[in-house]
Amino acid sequence: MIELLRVDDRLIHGQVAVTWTSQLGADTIVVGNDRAATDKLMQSAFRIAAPPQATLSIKSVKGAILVINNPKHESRKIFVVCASPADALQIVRECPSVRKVCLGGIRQSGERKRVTQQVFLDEKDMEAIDGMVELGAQVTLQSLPDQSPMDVAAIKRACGA
Amino acid sequence: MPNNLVLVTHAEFAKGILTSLELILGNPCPTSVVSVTAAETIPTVAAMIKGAIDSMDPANPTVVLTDIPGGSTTQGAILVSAERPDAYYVAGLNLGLLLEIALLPLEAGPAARESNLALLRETSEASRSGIGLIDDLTAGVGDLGGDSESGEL
Repeated sequence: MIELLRVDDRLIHGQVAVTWTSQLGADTIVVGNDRAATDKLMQSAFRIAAPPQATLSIKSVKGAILVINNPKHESRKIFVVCASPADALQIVRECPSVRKVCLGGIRQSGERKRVTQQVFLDEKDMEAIDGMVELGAQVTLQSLPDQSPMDVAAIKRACGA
Repeated sequence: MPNNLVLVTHAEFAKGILTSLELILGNPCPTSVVSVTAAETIPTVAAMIKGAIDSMDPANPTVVLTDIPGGSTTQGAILVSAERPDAYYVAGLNLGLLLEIALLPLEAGPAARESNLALLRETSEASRSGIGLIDDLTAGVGDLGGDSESGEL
């Protein structure tokens, strides 16, 4: 079962490895990121960061989609992490079981506007978010479980869209 | 039920590490800080720790974390442990240990004491294994096998 798809450009870090994995009770963390899939240093860093109780799988976005759709893993409690709303849209489009998307950490770059301290979005990100909503996904912004989640309307208000 | 955490450190380390806890976990537990300066005697430190324990909700299990075993922080905690035997006392505060203990499902009441102690021991061990040369730690996890484009984990 897919517990959550988190969008976080740091992929595996403290908030993800410790807080969300524990909060969700996930036994499996799947990273869907093309760079991490081939970068040995990132893989080493993520492997020592991942909690010992969870199985960590580092995949390309395409590989993550195959893992999510593989019925063999259905009994697992899977927490999926990808780095951008565009990657998240691709996953939501191809994985009917991914219906909860949480924007957790998207740092400032280029034209991105501040929504919260940890999340900045540009027009392309917003289009990807709209795309996920159209596909029936519930998209929220929430960096930590004890913060109240922002819905898409609140996200748009916050960045003036 | 959350765990009450009492952090006992030399100077402001306890306050600082709470900001780290908050960044990663939010506010998962009630916390209390005892910052020991050069001016305090061990009995004074003990009184400060006792005051911190007593200020917290007694319905939750309380864990006192001290920084170094060889310091007045831990010596103070040892004095308190005789008077407040229901609390749990752990030395060697670091962020990994703090995060784990903040999330630990301790249970209230004397009946749970043995199982709580076992959990705390296990957590201390796990935290200890996270200390080392990064090269050695990454070597310990080995290489990631498998095909990143496949549907296998």
